[in-house]
Amino acid sequence: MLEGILPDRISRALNELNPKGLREIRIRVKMPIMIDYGTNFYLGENGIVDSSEYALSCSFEEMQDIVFKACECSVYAHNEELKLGFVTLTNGQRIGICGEVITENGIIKTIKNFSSINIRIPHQVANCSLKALPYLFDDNGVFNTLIIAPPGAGKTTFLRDLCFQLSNKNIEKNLLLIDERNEIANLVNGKPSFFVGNVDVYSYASKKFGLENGIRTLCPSAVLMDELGKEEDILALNYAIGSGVKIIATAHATNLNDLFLKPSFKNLLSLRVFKRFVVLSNRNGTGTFEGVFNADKICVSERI
Amino acid sequence: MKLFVVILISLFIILIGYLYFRKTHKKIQFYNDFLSFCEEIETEIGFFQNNIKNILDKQNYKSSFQELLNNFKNKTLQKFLNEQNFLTQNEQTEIFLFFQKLGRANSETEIKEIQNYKEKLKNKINNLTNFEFKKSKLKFNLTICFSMFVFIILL
Repeated sequence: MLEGILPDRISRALNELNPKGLREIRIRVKMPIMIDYGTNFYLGENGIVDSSEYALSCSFEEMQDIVFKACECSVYAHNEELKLGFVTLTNGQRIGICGEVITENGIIKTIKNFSSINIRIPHQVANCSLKALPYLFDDNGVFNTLIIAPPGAGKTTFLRDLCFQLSNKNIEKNLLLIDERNEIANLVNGKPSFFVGNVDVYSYASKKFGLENGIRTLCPSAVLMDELGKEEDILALNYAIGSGVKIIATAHATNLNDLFLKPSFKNLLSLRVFKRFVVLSNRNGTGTFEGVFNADKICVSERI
Repeated sequence: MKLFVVILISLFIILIGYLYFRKTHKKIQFYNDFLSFCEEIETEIGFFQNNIKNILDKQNYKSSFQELLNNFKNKTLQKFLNEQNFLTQNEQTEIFLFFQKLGRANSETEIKEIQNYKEKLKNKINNLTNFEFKKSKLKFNLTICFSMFVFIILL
């Protein structure tokens, strides 16, 4: 696993693990390597170990080398991603990166002296959105939908499958996917690595760019995007909604009440822009479907 | 028999002069290609942000610089450099460090580094063509004269 990027001894140890259910690998300089299967374990020479005493760790030099290799030996080519704190590998695995942030006149120039990384293993869970799908569209097409869940609860996986189902079942004709971190479709040489259906994909594009340019040039009937939250995203979203385009997005929130308390969403929610909310959680494991709710926070689906 | 031995000795002396001349010529070609490569990567990094592997795949040089790039791709650069006797120890270390640093910074820093290195290469090429090349040519001519002198004396 991750050969060519991680040092051989770490890569060998990871090969001993069962890839099913593996969510994250956390590597910090001179600290025990942690792996996340929903529960945290340590990575030993021959796989999982319970005690940090027997866990493998990584030196500072090795850490710099890991990031260098993750950037395909060309840090400059991935600097825009690095500035946002991540690099996406060609197989769709996203590496969150921590280190010394270099700024000049308040503008982030790059990150150097990397201190820790978090490797997220993406999963394609086929049909995981089917429980929610019947409640997300009517004769006029899909509703404006917000998928909410805490971090690591499967929002991106759900969005990926929903994108595929909407395209596959012909619910929306022209779908545009704004894949800011190239982890939803993971385009490699113009071809998605995951099944997202017959859709247009903007990879590494900001939501603002994707929405403004995509609507003008690609005429989508619905736009899908991950992790809505920043002020500029909300402004761009207002433009899209004003243009009559349907929006399907994800946002970090543990439940609907939590979402309605977020200041950046206040205006959007008071205008009842989103007609449906899909709530996911980690209650019974990653991607637990809690239900589909309408703008009045009333559950319209069967609760599982 | 004597004539044959004398011819052989004279030819050997000429060969030494030729090898020295060729070494300098090879070095000039090598550094000229290195300079072209630096110009190419400066554009590739500055404008296209292409990754190092793609840039290397596009290169095709006739001198031993191409072999250097192939060895860099195969991660055997250090070994290759150690085998190049037309490069001094300092030159080998300098080249190794240049390739070690390549691709490790943001594009601004990379371009500055490449531009600095280009200046060094230009100075080196100037020195090689204006001084070393003339010196090696002179040495080659002198070995020819010397071999003729040896030929006459021994005969």
